[in-house]
Amino acid sequence: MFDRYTETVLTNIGINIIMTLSVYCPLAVGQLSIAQVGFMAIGAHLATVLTLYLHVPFGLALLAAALLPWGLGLFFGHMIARLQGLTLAFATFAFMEVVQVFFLNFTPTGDARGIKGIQPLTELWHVWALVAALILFFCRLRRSRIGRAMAMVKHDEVVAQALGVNVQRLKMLAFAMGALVAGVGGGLYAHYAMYIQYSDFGADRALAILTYAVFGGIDIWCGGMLGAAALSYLPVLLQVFDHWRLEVHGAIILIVMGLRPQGVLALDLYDMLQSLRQRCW
Amino acid sequence: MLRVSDVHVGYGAIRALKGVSLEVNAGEVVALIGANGAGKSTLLRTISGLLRPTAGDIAFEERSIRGVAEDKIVRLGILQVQEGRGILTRMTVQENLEMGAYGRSDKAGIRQDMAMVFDKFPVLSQRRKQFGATLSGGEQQMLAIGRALMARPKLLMLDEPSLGLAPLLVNEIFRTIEDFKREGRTILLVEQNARKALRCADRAYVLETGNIVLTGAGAALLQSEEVQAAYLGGRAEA
Repeated sequence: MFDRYTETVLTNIGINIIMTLSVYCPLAVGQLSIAQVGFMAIGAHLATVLTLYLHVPFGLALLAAALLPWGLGLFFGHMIARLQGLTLAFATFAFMEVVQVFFLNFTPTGDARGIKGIQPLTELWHVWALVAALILFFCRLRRSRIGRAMAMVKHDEVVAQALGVNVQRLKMLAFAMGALVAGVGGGLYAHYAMYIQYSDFGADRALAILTYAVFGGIDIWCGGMLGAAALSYLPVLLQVFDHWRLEVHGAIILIVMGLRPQGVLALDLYDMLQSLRQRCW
Repeated sequence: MLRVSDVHVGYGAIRALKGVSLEVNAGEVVALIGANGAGKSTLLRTISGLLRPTAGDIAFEERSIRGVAEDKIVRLGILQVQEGRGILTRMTVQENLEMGAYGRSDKAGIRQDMAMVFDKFPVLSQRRKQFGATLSGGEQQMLAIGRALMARPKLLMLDEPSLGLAPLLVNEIFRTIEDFKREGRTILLVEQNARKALRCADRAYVLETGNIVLTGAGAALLQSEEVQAAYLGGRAEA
């Protein structure tokens, strides 16, 4: 359908969207997690070992790349459920660092040399099917009971608790959900990049994902999608600027954030659309 | 329905409740009055599961709920409308009410109760699509009470519902409580407005620095000299 180049660009955008949406799971209960990249690393390495050394079918490998982060996410999510704000950011950052150092020293997955020769099993539709599934999930979540409870927790934990929500358990679930999505994202990434190394899953990527979310609007998941899509595609557009493209890239982010500090798609825009719809109907 | 027996609660070295016993029977409105710092809110928070008693027991429907987590207590049927109301300010009135029914899954019943709340508080119906933050103090109090009703609580605990409201609104809140009484709801009411609270309560307890010092029928306490001197500003006619 597309030529190789377009396919590569679109796959990359899709994976970035998946990773950004994985941040919005814990964000739905008001928790900012930087650990997503760590779960991505776990998913990527696990899936690669399964397909490359154990010849497990890709689908099963991805399933494993979902389940292990889910389990770890439940465990870690339980530990950090009571943390908030800066302490939470640091704890999740530390988790990412621990995972990175682990893969730096873990010989079976090639330690610092990384793993080469991964089969290119990730196809464009895999990535976008997952994006579509996530969109559906987030749309349905808003109207579900658990989604409303999450909104309530994000809004005011004390009130949520007083109305019968088990706040700690909900936070743990949201965190594990994000870990699961990030794990699958990692599995897809590995079989698209065909080479992974511990340094692919460090602070750089964490910062990039966070930038997508903040740029697009951290309050609503659609914002994260927009941010991931726009900022992943921007470098392609900016190739005309040659050596200056990074400067232009930075300048664009600065200008947009200056104009809309709350993100491109923020709640105020959402409210405006809502009231517009009410007036028109 | 609710039995609090000899409950002690402390914050660090400060002992806020020193052996409080109290009972609420089904269909009763029980008032708990007392001055600032007497321990009224502490008692409610202990019943809600926010605080753990150091000694004594709390039983709800003959089962001990001491040390049970707050969200479980809500699901057992004890709902507290907090002082300061705790409205979700960035959600609409309707969404706030839906949140109250969080623990329920009977859609028809929820819709029915929503209609009941709007019927009881017509002003909320007019504000249905407005954000909680745009409501006045009285409307927020009504919303908080309405939201608690959405959970179909067996026992409703109201913490200072008249706090910070204009006199007309205070009257309206107490009229609502009278309505609840007629409907046979079970209510534990904490109030500083002792006169109004005693007037609408079946029974009342007077709390003073962590001890229950007086108890009796609401009307009887209203006549009692001790209560009149301490809480009703002298010999005002009842």
